[in-house]
Amino acid sequence: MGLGRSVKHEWAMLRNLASSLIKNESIITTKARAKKTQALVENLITKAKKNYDKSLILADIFEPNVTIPKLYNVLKPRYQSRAGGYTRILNLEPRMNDKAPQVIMELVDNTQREMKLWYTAKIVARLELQNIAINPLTQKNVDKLLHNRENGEEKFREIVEICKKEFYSDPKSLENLPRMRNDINTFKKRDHPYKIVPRPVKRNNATVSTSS
Amino acid sequence: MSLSLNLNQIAVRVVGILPRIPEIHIAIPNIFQRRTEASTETHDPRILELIENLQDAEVPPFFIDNGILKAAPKKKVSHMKRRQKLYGPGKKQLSLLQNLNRCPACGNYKRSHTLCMHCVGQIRRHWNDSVPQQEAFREEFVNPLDEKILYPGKKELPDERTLRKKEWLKRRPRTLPVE
Repeated sequence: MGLGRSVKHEWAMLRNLASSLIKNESIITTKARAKKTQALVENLITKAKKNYDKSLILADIFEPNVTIPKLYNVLKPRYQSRAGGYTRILNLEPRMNDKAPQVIMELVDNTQREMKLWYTAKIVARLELQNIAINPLTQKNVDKLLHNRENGEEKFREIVEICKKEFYSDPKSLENLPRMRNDINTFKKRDHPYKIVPRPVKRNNATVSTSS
Repeated sequence: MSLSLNLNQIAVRVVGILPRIPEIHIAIPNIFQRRTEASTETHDPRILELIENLQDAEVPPFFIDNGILKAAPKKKVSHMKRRQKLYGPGKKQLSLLQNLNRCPACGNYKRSHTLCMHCVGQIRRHWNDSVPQQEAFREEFVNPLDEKILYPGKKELPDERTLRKKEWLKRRPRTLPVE
């Protein structure tokens, strides 16, 4: 009994959200709903990765003719190297009408509509057009987005070219240069050299490798 | 001299000094008696009159309360006091946003830990436009006159044209550029 409705109603709503997320790979909802569907979707993907019987998954999902083949044929091979964390939540401004906090919820490394990839591509395109070196924070974000993706670099370059053509054709849009301290986008924080360290991989006999 | 006292006289005097105590009647209900309509003696005569008037008259009388007053504020709340109550407390006033950043993709202000709505809108619009749309089914006519007669077309009035623009919708304003 959450989100202001009965148990059955809430459950049906979460199933709807989960199935539409699997189908479209990106949805916009409120924050509370997104947090609840996140758990459901992650659970479904782990079930698919462990080769659960499809009849067990049927109870948690709508439109099984579309979603279940996608879970087993597309998402399972995509997330083979990941141990959890298949979804991402990005905060948006509150809704205009009732000021409800909105979020974009999307599958990681998706091929259809990934806002984080496009947003970082837009930043990179802008910096390249202004002949400014890419700052460490954006470089870190780019590396994080691409290191687990197939043909990541090529796809990213394609999107950057599209962004240059679509969003910065007007020279007025490039007038504003970054004037923050150390060229970061926050006003007060100092810059740090970021480095990506992969997580230690779990072994089959349930012992975690202690390599740092 | 005699010390005899007129007791009778004293008693009269004492009683005269004491305050008169009103007589008290307590009605003990008779259980065996059959219950009749409530006795009307104890009611205020004004209420009885009001009830009679309401029953008789088709239109209710002008003074409904008939001189019986209810609780009401004693004085009008002054302009100053009302404004102090409604707009004084800081909780009810608009507060300034302190969590602002510069959007790295467009250079305008945005809230920290959120995406810039202008850039998100641009990207989403590009996505929606780049989806290939199916062309609507269109009948082919040998004689173009037939098409003209069957589908004469609809004229759009100027009011409808303005409605289609959706100017009444509240749009999110764009933030200012960071200096």
